[in-house]
Amino acid sequence: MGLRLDIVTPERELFTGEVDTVLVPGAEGQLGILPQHAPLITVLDEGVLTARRGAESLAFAIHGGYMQVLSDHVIVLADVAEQAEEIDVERAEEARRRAEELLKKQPPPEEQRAAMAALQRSLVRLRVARRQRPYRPEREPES
Amino acid sequence: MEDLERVRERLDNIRAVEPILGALRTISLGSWQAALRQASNLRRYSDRLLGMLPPLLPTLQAQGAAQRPRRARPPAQRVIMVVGSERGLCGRFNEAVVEYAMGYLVSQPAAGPLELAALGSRAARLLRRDGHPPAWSAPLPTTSLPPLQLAFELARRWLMQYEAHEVDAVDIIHNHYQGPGRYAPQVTRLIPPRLEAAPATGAAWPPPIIETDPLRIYARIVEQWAATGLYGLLLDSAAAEQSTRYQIMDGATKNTERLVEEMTMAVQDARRQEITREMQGLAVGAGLVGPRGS
Repeated sequence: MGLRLDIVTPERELFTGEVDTVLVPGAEGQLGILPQHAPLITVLDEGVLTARRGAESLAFAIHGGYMQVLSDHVIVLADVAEQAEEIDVERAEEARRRAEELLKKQPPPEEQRAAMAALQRSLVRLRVARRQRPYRPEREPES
Repeated sequence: MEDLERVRERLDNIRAVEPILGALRTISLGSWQAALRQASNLRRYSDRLLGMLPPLLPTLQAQGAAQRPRRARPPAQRVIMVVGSERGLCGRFNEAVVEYAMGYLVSQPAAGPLELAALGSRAARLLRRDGHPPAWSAPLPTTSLPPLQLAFELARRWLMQYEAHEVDAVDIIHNHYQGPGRYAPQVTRLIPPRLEAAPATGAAWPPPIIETDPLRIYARIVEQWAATGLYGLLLDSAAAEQSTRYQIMDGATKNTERLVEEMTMAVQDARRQEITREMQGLAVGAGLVGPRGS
């Protein structure tokens, strides 16, 4: 008997289907959900949600939200969520580089927070993208 | 001859406008359908959000945290935000919502200051014209749907002001979509948020483990509820605006097609008459035809 997983954002229903296990980025740390898990409510952090269905592994970038576990039903209400195929690796890489460069300059606290959040978002996107396809980070051209 | 030239010129002008009308009609149709689809997705999200409350509320009530009464204070500011459109070509869409807002403003008790705000340049302009300049206004996208981010930013700001007793209430006035080309202005109280927990589904036993502070989860749900509530109203307004624009553009496109058809026939008729006259002239010149009986 598997788990029904629903990943919903305010803008769309990203995924709904049967899976065997779910690993989510809880605000208190990673949480693994198996069938027959006790009912649970938690806040989600920025991170990668991984679901296993047989030999298949599904990865989603989750940018905050909540999770409710009912009897064999996991509902993820994400603020923003993306599938690996939707992630533009070059754009995420560019965002990561921009955020890192900004952080090196030691900006004021507000900008620093924004840059940290942007860095975290881009890293999560890159991690999800890497799981689904071969990923090669950009290198400086050799002279 | 002069008439024919004028008709040709008009025909060319109408033909030049035809693709623009067609494009606007297609864009409006796409945006209208997208707004309805998005609103339906949002409802599914909101329903699930409310579904989290039944298991959460007993814990909060035990902690005495939920439904904390606000201490009596002098009335703070009330915010009234009018949602209009950024572009015209949607009939009385903006006039209707602004007229309704004017009536609503008059009906409000004088207690506490009021802040009038507007989303959409057209509505802001009409409010200024009617002597009620908004304290602030923000534009809406012209071709795409309102961004979710905008709803989150506004809701977050108002909730913080509400918590700080700077704002007592936030009312949103928008055109509620009632079907293709039909809408009616209405007012919705966004803040203070009124969350009605969805009936509990499934087994309530054992009680859920609530990771993180339940109050933190509740606060986030309230914020999310206010933001998605506002986003829903923006989408509803967008559906009303775009469906009205679609109806107008559809009418204009059909009218243009009819005009083009009529004018093309008029041009062809005038051209036939001109050819007949020229042939008559040639025949008379060649002596093929002459006065009757000669």
